[in-house]
Order: sequence, then structure tokens, then C-alpha cells
Amino acid sequence: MQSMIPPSVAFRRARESTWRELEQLVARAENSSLRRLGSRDVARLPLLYRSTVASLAASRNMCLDRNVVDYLENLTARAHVAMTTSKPNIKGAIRAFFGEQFPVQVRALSGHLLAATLLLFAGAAVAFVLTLDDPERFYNFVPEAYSQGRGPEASSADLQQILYDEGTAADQLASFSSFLLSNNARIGMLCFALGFAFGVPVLYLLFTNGMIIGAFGALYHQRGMSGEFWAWMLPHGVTEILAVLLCGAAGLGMAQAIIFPGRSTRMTNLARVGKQAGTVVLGAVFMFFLAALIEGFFRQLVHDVVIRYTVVFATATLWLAYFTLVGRARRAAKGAQ
Amino acid sequence: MSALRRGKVAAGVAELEDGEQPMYVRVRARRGPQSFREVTTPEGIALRLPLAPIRARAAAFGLDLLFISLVVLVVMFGGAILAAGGMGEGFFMGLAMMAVFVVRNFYFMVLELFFHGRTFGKKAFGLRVVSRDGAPLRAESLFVRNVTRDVEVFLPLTVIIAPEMLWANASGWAIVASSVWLLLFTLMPFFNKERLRIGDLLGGTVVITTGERVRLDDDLCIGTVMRVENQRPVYTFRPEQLDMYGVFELQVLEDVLRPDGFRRQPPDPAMLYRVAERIKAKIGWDHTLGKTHDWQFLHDFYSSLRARRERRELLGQHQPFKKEGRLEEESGGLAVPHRSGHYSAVGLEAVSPTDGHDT
Repeated sequence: MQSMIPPSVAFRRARESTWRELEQLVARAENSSLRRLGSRDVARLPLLYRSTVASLAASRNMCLDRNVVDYLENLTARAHVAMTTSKPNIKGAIRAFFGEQFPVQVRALSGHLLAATLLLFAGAAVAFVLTLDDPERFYNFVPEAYSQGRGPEASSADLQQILYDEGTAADQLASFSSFLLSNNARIGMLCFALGFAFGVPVLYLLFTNGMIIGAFGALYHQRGMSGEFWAWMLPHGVTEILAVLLCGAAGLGMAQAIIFPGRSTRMTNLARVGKQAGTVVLGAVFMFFLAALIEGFFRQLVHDVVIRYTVVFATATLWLAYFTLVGRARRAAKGAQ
Repeated sequence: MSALRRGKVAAGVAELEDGEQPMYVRVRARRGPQSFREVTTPEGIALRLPLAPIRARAAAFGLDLLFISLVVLVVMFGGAILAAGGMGEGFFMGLAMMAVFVVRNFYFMVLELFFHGRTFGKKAFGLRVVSRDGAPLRAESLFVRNVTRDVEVFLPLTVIIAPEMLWANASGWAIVASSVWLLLFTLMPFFNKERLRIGDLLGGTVVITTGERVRLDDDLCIGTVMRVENQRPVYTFRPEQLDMYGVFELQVLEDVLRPDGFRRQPPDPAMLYRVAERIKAKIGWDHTLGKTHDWQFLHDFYSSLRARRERRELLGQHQPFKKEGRLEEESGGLAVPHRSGHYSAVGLEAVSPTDGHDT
């Protein structure tokens, strides 16, 4: 009797072999990888997938057999996941990141970067002037962990000795890794993450870090060792301070997205700005890594002040060129398309 | 009282409301209060990806953490041996710190990149990272979602274990405030619908569960309609009888009739009898026709009802739930058992009809 047979019976009979074939392919892809499938299967997969997705759409409307609908929901989701989580293009992503995204996003945050820079230098200037005025204030600006015995009461010889410390290979490795773990990268990341807190911690961190630099500068300035101090500090400092500033700029960007969301909601704004700021912070982490390399090895191997200053100017020029020039051509080419 | 009263389904029990007394039937374990990420394919069809529960994610993370600690321990042990061999204390410390740094920062990133959005822990618990927009997984997303892990997880861990390490020279209330603030980051998945971490939010990813596989069972109609030699049902129903029930009841009936669970247990005969009696009372079944075979009756009713509902759906006449009240019994109705010797042909001896229910 025709009326007793639901339309979905014929619907299922016509399509079930497609579903079953897709199910087998997906199960194989789940167990190993999409790459293990033969070329015939790989060619077949999109066809099967599309036709099964179409089945799902139809079954939601006309099939009241819940098992069939559940099965199709589950199968299409599994197929979708298997097809979209194949190994991402890592090389391409790295090239795109350093060749385009990182410098482009830094330029997009140039206003915030300027603000962060001013803040850091303001902190440095304040601490410099105040410490020159009264050397005891050094302790107010520099935490114990940083000073490591350097302070107003240390002798000039001791202070000088730190600038030309020659470590063994093992020491170099140790100091390199300790700097990897040290505050710098952490502070950078914190700056970014704390952007969620309306940017107040970012301002604080930038300012206090500037103060530490300023206090040290004043300390060595009083002993007449300014030139040597900056030659010791800046070869890695250029990269490192720039990275801190980038993280701070990213944090300020996030703060702005929350405080002044503009037309979009705070959440969407945060997701959008977060992606840009995340790019910048990721690049900054890489810069911290470079700075730690310079700090751990170069500083202990090379003691000549002229060479040290050469490195300072070289790194400064390189970063300037990188952030102002790289990625413009690609962007323009993309825009023209 | 509303014309369409909805039966309730909770914890695997369906309540078939009928008049004053509700009746409960066990239904197959449904997927719990699970939520989905809807992803729209290029064809414009929304696929549903089941979101991973937080406890599964926490468990996966715990497993990964265990694995990381193991690796670090092994490296430190090797370093200690080398240090004892004359390389010096500094070398050992350097190596250990390096190992901690590398494993802690790159374990998740590298595994998720090369292992299709999974770490060992995620694989063990059937979880996977996918793109929120349905596009293929991007390497950048994986970078970003794992860079923030440090702030979200490891930093608060430090806060819990040793707060003085992080906030070296802060006052008491500042430590509390900062710690609470940091913990808020960690607890972020509890505060949004899709259980996103901050890393997920920034990277545009979502963690889903892939463990479940729904099996496609035989169509319940086929056992009654198709396999019967003469292609004719044993029991037939009038349209107005079928229209007493809606889609919801149809699917509860599907649950009742499907073999249950992994062991494929056949439905309980006593349950079938009770459900059949309910339906007969509601649709005004002609009891003068004699005893019915419950299994056959329910399957035929299911097929007819589904055919009726699906055809009505195609015409745009949606009936989600049953109607109130019941039809009057009408003797000499359309329902006629066609062949009495038919039951043995489809192997129904196992579930013999319960007797003594004719009125």
C-alpha cells in the first residue's frame, strides 16, 4: 500500500551508498590522515561530501526518521573536520607572517607605538633626573632582582667589571636561557594580555620599565661611564626595548577596543583587534628571543665599545627598515587584484 | 490548556502525557544538553560541530601537562648526569631552564600544527581544534591560541602556587586583586557560550569533540513494509487516527521501537503492550477486531504515522505535537488484520502479545 511508505524511505535508498562511502573514507582519514588516502579517494571525497551535505539539508526538511538526520548531522560534521584540519601550510604561514603581517600590523599600531614610546621615555627621564639628584633613589626605581649588587654604594670598578664580564660557555648557556625565562618576554606578554584591563597595567608597566632604564643610566652617568654603559646595554636593548614597546602598543590597542568600541560590540571589536595585536605580540616574542641571543652570547664575547655601538646602529637601522618597508609591495599587489 | 501539549524528554525518559495520568517510557539516551558551533558551508548549509565539554578539555590539558613534566624530568636527569660528568652546575641549570622554556612554549603549538589540531591529551579525549569560521585550520591561528596559553594557564598556576614569585614587591591587596584578575582569564571558558579561551577568541578557533559516531540503523519502516512478502501492512489506520499524533510522538515511538543501546536489546514486550494500549485508546481503535500483535501494530502505526506526517510536511502542514482528547471508538473501522498466519513469517514469536488486554 503506497500511502504507508514514507517518502524518506525512497530518499534514503537512493543516497545511502553515497553516505556509506563517505563514512568509510572519513573513518580512514580520522585514523591516519587525509594524505594517506589514495588519489582516487581524495578526488572522490569532495563529491561525496557535497552530496551528503545536500542530503542533510533535504533530510532536515523532509525526513522524520530521527536516526537518519542524527546520522547525517554527525557524518557531515566529521567529514568537515577531517577536511579542514589537514596539516596547515606552516612554511607559507611563517613567510606570510614575517614578510607581511607582522610589519603591516605594527604600522597599523603606529599611533599606539608612539604613545608607548613616549611613556617609556618619560619614565626613563623622570628616573634619570631624580637619581642624579639623589643617588639613594636608585633603590626606589630598581627592584632587587634587577640590580644584582649594582647600586650607588658599589665601587666603580665593580660596576665596570659587570660591563665586561667574560663568562664560560656554560655560563653563556645558563644566562641565555635565564634571559629566555626572564621578565622581558613575560612583561611583553603581560602588557598585551593586560590590555583587557582597560590598559592601566600597560601604562604602569611601560612607565616603570622606563624608570629602571633611567635609574641605571643615571648611576653609570655619575661614574662617568655613560658611553660604556649604553654600549653594554643597547646592542640587545634596541631589540628588546622595541619589543616591549610593541607589546605595550598592542596592549593599548586592546584597551582602546574595550573602552571605545565604536560601532561594533566590545566582543567583536576585541576579537578583531586581538588578532592584530596577537600578531604584533607574536613577532615581539620572536624579537625577545633575538635579544636574548645577543645578550647571552654577543655581549660576553665582544668587549670593544666601537663594535658594540656598530651593532646598536645596525640593529636600529635594520628594525627601522623592516618595519617601514617590508610588506608594502605585497599589500599593494593584493589591493590591486 | 493548550491544544498542543509538549511531552517532556529528560534523562532518557519520555513522558507521554495523556489526559490526567502521565506515562513514562524509556527512550534511547539522547545527547545531553550539548551545544554546537554552527558552521556554514559554501553551499549555505549550516553544519553543527559539537563543542567540547570543559571537563574533557581540562582532562586533556592535565594529560598534556603530565607529559610535559615527564619530558622536563627526563631532560633534567640527563643534564644531571652530564653535570656530574664534569660539565658544571651552570651547564645543568642552563639546560634545564632551556628545556622548560622550549617544552612549555612549543609543545602545544608544534603538536597542534603537525598533528591536525590535536595534542596527545586532545587525541586521548577525542578533542580537536578547528577554525570557527569553517575554513581550513590556519597555522597563525594555532600560533596565537598557544602563545596566550602562558598568560592564561601558566601564569595563574604560578599565582596559585607561589604568588610572591610574580608580584615581588606589591602590597597584599594588590596581590589579591591581580591574582583574581589573572584567574578571570583562566575561567573565561565558563563565561561564554562556545567555551572559548582567550586564545580561541584571538586565534579564531574553537575546540570540538569528535569522539561520537552515530550509527545508521535500519529504517523501522522497512521491517514492516518492505520485507513483507505481499508488501501490505497488517494494520491500517485512517488519516484522522494518524493526525492525533505529531512529530514529537513519532520520534518517541522511534526510540521505543529501536533496539536499545550497544547490546542491541530488543524492546521490552510489556512496554510495547502499554504503549500500544495508549495509542489504541487515543485513536479510537476498533477493539472488536480482536487481539493485535503489539510489535507489528506499533511498527505499522509508526510507518503509517511517519508516511502521513512526512507527506503533510511536504505540503507545509506542520504538526509538531499530538492533539488533545481522543477519538471515539468506531466498530467496523478500516483496520483489518490481513492474514492471521502472517506473524511467523516475520519471526515475531519472540515477542508474543501479552494477553488479557481486550475490553
